[in-house]
Amino acid sequence: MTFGTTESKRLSMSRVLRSAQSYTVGLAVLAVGLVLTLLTNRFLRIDNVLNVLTNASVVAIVGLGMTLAIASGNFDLSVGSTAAFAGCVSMSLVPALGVPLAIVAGLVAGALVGLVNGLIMTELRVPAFITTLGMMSVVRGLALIYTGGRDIYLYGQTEYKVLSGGHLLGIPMPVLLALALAALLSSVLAQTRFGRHILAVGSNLPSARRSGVRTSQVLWGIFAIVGAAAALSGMIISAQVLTANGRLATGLELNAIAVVVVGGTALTGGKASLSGTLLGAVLVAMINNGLNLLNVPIFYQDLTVGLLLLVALALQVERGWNPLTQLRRTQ
Amino acid sequence: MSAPGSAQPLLRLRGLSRRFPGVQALDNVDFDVLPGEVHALVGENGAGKSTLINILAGVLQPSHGTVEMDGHPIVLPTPLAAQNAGISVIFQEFNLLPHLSVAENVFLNREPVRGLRIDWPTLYSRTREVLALLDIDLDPRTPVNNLPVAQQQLVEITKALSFKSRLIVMDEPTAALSEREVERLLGLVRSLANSGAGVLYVSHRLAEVFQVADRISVLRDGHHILTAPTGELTEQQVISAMVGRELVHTQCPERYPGEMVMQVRDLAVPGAASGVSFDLRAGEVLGLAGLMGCGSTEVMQALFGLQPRSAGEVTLQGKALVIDGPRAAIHSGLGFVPNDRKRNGILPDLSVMHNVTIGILDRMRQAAWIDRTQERAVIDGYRGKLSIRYSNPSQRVSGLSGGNQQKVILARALAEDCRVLLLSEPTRGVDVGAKAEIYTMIDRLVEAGMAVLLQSSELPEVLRLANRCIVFAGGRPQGELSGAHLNQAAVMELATGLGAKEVA
Amino acid sequence: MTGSAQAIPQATSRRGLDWDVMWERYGISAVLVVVWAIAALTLPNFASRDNLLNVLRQSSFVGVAAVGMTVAIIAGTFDLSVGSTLGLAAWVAVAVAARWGVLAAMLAGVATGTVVGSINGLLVSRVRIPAFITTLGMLFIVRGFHYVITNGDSARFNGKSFIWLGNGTIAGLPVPFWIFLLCAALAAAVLAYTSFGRYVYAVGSNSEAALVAGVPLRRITALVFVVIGAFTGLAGVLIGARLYSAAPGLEPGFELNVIATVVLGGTRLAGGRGSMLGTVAAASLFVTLTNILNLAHADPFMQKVAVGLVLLVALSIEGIRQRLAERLARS
Repeated sequence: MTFGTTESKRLSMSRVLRSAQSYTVGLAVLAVGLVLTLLTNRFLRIDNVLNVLTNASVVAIVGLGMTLAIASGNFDLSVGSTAAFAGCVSMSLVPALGVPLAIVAGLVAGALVGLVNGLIMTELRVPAFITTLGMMSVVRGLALIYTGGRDIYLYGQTEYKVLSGGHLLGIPMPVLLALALAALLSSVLAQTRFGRHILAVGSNLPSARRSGVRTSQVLWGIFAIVGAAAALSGMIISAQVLTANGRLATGLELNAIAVVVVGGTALTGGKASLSGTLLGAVLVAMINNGLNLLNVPIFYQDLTVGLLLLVALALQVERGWNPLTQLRRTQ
Repeated sequence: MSAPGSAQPLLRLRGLSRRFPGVQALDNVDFDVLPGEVHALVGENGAGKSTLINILAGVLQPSHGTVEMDGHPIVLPTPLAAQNAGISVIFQEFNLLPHLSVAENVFLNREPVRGLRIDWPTLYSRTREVLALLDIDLDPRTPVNNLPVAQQQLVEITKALSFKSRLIVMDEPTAALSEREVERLLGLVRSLANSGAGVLYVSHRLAEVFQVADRISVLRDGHHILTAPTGELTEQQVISAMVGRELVHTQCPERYPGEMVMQVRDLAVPGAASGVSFDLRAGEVLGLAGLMGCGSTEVMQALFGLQPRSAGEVTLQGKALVIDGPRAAIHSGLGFVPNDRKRNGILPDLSVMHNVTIGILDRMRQAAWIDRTQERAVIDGYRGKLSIRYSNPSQRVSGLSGGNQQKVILARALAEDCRVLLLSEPTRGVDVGAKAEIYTMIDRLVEAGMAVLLQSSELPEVLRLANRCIVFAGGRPQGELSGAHLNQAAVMELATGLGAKEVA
Repeated sequence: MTGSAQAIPQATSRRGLDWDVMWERYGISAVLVVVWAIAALTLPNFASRDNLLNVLRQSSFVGVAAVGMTVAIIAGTFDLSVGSTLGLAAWVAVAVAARWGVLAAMLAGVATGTVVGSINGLLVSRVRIPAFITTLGMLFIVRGFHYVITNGDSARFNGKSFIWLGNGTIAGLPVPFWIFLLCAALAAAVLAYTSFGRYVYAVGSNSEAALVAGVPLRRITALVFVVIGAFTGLAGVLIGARLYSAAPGLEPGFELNVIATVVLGGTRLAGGRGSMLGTVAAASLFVTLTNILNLAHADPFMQKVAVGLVLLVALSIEGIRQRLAERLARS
């Protein structure tokens, strides 16, 4: 680690490759888009494009939160459960609080779940994997208990549908929300102390702590954000069918992690690519959409997402990571 | 080096003691550091240096005694408190955040803000100001992981300066630096002191200590032994104080090289070394000496298959050595003791016994099952031969002291019946007693015909063990020394790159 | 945490270690015994033969897979694709049993798992994609593949011997449970007495040091995944035999159940040490919990909450103990 020329040459090479990576996803999106346009003329139809973007946004919103968690060297397996929980809580409170407050309640519920995750990690020293694994079960159980296993319908209250069906200048609400969230988090990461400390924690937790960074509080904040993002996704999903139940968003966590990884954010922490996450979500949504349009049985979607994941990682430069040896992230 | 002017000590330790269950790490230590002085603290491993540093860093609390700054007793319950008290500690393992920039590292948690946003221009300009204090040439925006180690250390120093620290503690600062970088650092240390700060320079390396320190203090077994101005001390006196006895053997015993075992021609390791050629015979110890960064470590790793070779031929016992990794190397008869036991030496969760036998499991098998009695016999054997201290072969190796762990790794290599033993910094971080035992063991092995290649940056070690020595500097062998010519001065001359000559 | 101090000498760690070792190896077994005792005393139907047999039987499915996962986690890695592999193997087993009998079905199921495991092993050890992503990708791929080849249909077979495999008893204990115990015993023996087992511990403890010590790192890594695959395949056969049918989407979240079982059993994600006995006990404990909740007529959804809580509590104990030890060391 102590040599001059060759070492710095190697470093600049990997630096080039690393920045090239963020272009790779974008290129992939363009390439796939091109292929699909050529294969079917239904792809570029405006309603289809909006559909793809909407689907992408639902995963992207959780993915954006997840990106922060991964940048800090952790991840959150409980987002699917949190989405369901928040969706149920929110929808159930609409009659009592009205739509706007109910939405806020949902966000708060999600943030609280995230906060609990963070507290368990920092105060009880349970690693992120186990914490969020356990909470995944607990929160979903709570959602099911809360709803008694039944669905929650919203009959007359169609204002809730704004979350999924609203438009501004023709752009669907979920897309707007995703973009807004991306802009907000991007700003936080680049401009605020909290955001820089997120990267500090992911880069070298013990050193950050020794310098006085309140690593515990940073982690609480991160997971609260992840929880709120998950809640937002959950509410959008519920809004789409105006129904919420304890079984919604199963598997969301794996999809979210997949789009973050495909988007180029390294699991080792210290760096975050929010735009990559957005593009990753779009890529996956595009591929699934394309398969639909081409009448490929829906079953092939899982296959393609999996292959995409592996290919994306096979191409990535910063690889060697073993989550199991990174347990000290929260301690 | 003149004694600093001011009389009031900057830091004073009074009766500082720290006890751990079963061990008195520090016992009634008294000494002081004056402002504007470079005060060296030396001592062997286990002397108490680390404990003292950690107390000053706010990581540990003393059991008894006080720490005073400017005559006032202070408490250091946390690292932050220490920082606020004006003490900066630069540890061997840097406290840096690789993904963030120099400026963010220096001002971590003190970033200037405007409202909610970081004020980048102010951050960068403030960083530049501090960098200028010591004339350091770094771009504040560079991510730290893009910097070589020596420059990362400069970031640490800049960080210390940015706190306007009055006392700067440096723990083995030159361990990872090249010769030239060491000179630079010593110059910086001097500048730091000249600017009024007190520097507590903790190091094993007496040459540097004598070069840069105004006063030297020696710790041994937790006790403060002496403090004196550098000018009034000789290296021998310091070593005696550190060790507690007159050094008996610094001389290498007579060795009788036998048949040729290994030949290396024009070995090159990309980015590290080139043009390495030597012969190695049974019954001798060939030293590869040089200061940190000279390339000798990489040569060792390349020979063992841990690093790729870009050129060169290696013949082992007459056959060309073509290996693609440690497993093949061991198979060919090479044994290796790596230079960083914590990182790539010991298997911490496994028992002492399992650590030793991990390389010879195939030999101890009956069908698929490992013969436990045989295993036990092996470990008992090495326990005696190497005087490894443990209570029970099934205890976890992580509970052993550094010296004993090193012996375990040595036992592992020996158990593999190697023909050539490659030792890379074999007694780094090992206490004096264990060091001596390891040296004796090596002598015995060599007498019995082992061929040993010893790579070490500790000069006394090389002089003690090697009958022949190749000195490296800047990745190239500078010359080979043996016999009367193998002495400290000659090695140093070659190691600093002055005068490459062949002396037989 | 500390800078460069090797401050805490042997005496403490030796005394402290004894408790650690005891808890790690026997903690959960002790808890299981206590829980069973309390349940037997307080719940009328718990100690009935049928009920206990049911508990033991149910614990075998996750249990067999957990045996393989224990090996993986000791080796410092893990496998997220076991759920999908389980489903595929179950389907293959049922389909083969219908044509060629029980024995062929078992072989086919195990072979299926082995093939998936080999692919995982190859990707992790040769292509060097981190296990997290590799197995995540394979989770999608295998599931997708399963859907594709079955077109969403399930396979069914009720041959007598096949049913017996999943539902019968030998000497009073359920067949799957015998198989579970056998697997655990075999794996424990391999871990303790063979070089493969020793290498697994070495790789999990410090893979770099293992490499330097001459352990065939790549081979062991690949083999570990083959092992999980094989055991998962066997678990799939058992489930197929139990339900005498298998459809895609069989057990969502199975992989996380398996990992939770292993971790609860005392094997830590960091690798290097583990307890097969703990895995057996933990598998039974999880099932016992749901059983107790059933018998106590608790809200069925409470089960999810309980399962998550148990995991969190068990691992918090360790975290709390760590904190106390640290506080003691500082003062």
